[in-house]
Amino acid sequence: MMLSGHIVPAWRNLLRNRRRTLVTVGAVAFTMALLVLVGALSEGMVQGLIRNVTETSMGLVQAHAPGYLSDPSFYTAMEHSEVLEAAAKDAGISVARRSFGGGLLAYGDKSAGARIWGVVPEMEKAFRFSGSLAEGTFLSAKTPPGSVVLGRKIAHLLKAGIGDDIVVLVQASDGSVGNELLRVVGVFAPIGDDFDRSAAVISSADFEHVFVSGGRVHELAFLARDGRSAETLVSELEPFAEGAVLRTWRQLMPPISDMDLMMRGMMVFVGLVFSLAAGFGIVNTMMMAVHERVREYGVLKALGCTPLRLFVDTSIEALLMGGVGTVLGGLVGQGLVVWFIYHPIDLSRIVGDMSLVGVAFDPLWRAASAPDLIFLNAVVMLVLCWGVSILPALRAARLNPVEAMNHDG
Amino acid sequence: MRAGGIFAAVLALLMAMPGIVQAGNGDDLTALLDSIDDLYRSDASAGRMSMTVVTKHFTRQVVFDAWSEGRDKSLIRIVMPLKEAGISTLKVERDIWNYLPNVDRTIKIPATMMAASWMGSHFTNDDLVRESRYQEDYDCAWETPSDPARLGVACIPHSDAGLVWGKVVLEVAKDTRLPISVAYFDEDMLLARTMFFEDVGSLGGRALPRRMRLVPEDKPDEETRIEYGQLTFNPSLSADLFSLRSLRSRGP
Repeated sequence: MMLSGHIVPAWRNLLRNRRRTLVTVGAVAFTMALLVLVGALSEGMVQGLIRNVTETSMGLVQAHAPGYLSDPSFYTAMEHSEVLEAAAKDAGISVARRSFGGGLLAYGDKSAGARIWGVVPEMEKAFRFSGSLAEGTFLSAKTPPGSVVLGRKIAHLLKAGIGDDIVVLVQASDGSVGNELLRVVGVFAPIGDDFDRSAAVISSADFEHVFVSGGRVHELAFLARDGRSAETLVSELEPFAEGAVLRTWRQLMPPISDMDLMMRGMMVFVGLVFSLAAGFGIVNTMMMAVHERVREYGVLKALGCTPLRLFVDTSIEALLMGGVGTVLGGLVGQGLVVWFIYHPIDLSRIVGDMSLVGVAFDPLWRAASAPDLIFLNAVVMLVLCWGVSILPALRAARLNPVEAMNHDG
Repeated sequence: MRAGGIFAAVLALLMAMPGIVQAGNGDDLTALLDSIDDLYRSDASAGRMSMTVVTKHFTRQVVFDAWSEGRDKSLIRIVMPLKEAGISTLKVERDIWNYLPNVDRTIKIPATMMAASWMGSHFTNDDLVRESRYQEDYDCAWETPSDPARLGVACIPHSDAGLVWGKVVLEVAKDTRLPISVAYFDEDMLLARTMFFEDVGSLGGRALPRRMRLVPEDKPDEETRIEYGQLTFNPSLSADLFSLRSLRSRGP
């Protein structure tokens, strides 16, 4: 009741100069719609990047032997990795078991250093890279022993294609020279700079043979696509991680994590600046409104209207404009967001193959709804609209009734 | 002997040694270094040696035959163990090829793999190819040796010599003029590794160290030992010994 007693006169006042009110509300709505859209697009870009990073091969969480990541020695292998693996399976988490070794690949007169992955093909199916081939196939039960799938750039460097026999030369775990012929069965599509330049993926059985690896496991990668966060996975797996260190993608890929946080910070800042600009529109409108109504306020005051009442009325007028604009803008913006969720922007025509922080980027730029960001923007907008209206509201409240009634504005 | 080329030093050491001995007409540094640099230029050698690699994770022994000619050419062929027998390394100037008999392929070692270990030892591929001369690539000066019976020489590479070391310190026996140790310091002047020359005895008709040990400073429990079985100076080598064709063949 109290409030409606303020809102109705405020609303009437706003309708007195409909065109001006419309323009101001329009400015607020436009700003808000823009903020919602830009926020959703940046959120979409970050989420796409995170999905790319985690689903391609890294997973949400990885396990390694302590010290492996800082000094990836062949001999720093995980103990009891099978316990962790079983626990992940029980919890419905996809897991891939990997071994890594350095070596030299050669074909014809070309040779290149490679990072050799020993994988269980079946387990890698959960990860996108195993299905992301430019030519040929990934390893499977059907591919014969001695098959290798190469990163795009290293294949290009070796000038090796499907069906070519390349030589792998490594230092085996016993110090001896391991060498074997491998047949190229597939070449990956662009995955990420490092991967493209150096990856040679072979089956764990071939890895064992070439490296005399003694069953050493260097990495377990975990992925869940049911919305469970990396932190949730860690808490589920931690009790089984004896002799292994679990790390989330945020810890494994700080640049991407930082970028995520930076983008959010930037959106809040942009929101603040835009809202401030819209707020100035409101200040202007309110200044004009107060100025026009000085005599009216004088009469009201003379009739016993308190300064507080005038202050509240004027403030509510500003808030009403901001509120209507914010809601309208939010709705329009969200409509645009939905459009961009179903109609992603195709960047491939503009940039071709793109990689960001060394990670191949999905050229389809989809918006992603970010309710928390919308809410924050709305709050900021309303607070600012009200904040900037304090000045005109104070002016109204402080008017001397006699002077005001004689005002000739 | 050469400062950077440890591996070549291993092969050519014995040609260099008499040079040091001959240069022993006083403590003239220039004369000493000159003779070290120049002596094995056109010389050739052939020998059999064994390499023992001791690491935290494995100990292994490899026996190989080696031929060398001058500074630029060498050929090494593994004799033992059987699994690796026939694996050969050819070095001509700055290039290295490996021949792998069980897949019958020759591989050229790319620049990116130069820092990788050679045959599982503490030597790198780079050690095989690095060419430097004390007189041209280093500024050398006498240094106080750790033992009064030795001569000490500290050499700092010129910045444009493309050498990975910050400093190399040689210690040479005063009486025999045979090297005792070479210490390699990294760019921060921290000791990275030391090569020791031991077991002086008759080799190819000369009194020479018959064992060399390379000890990495960060892994004092590890080492690579090279012991000479036999050595012949200036053998008659066929003209195309140091070729890719000969690399692929079984005999010298």
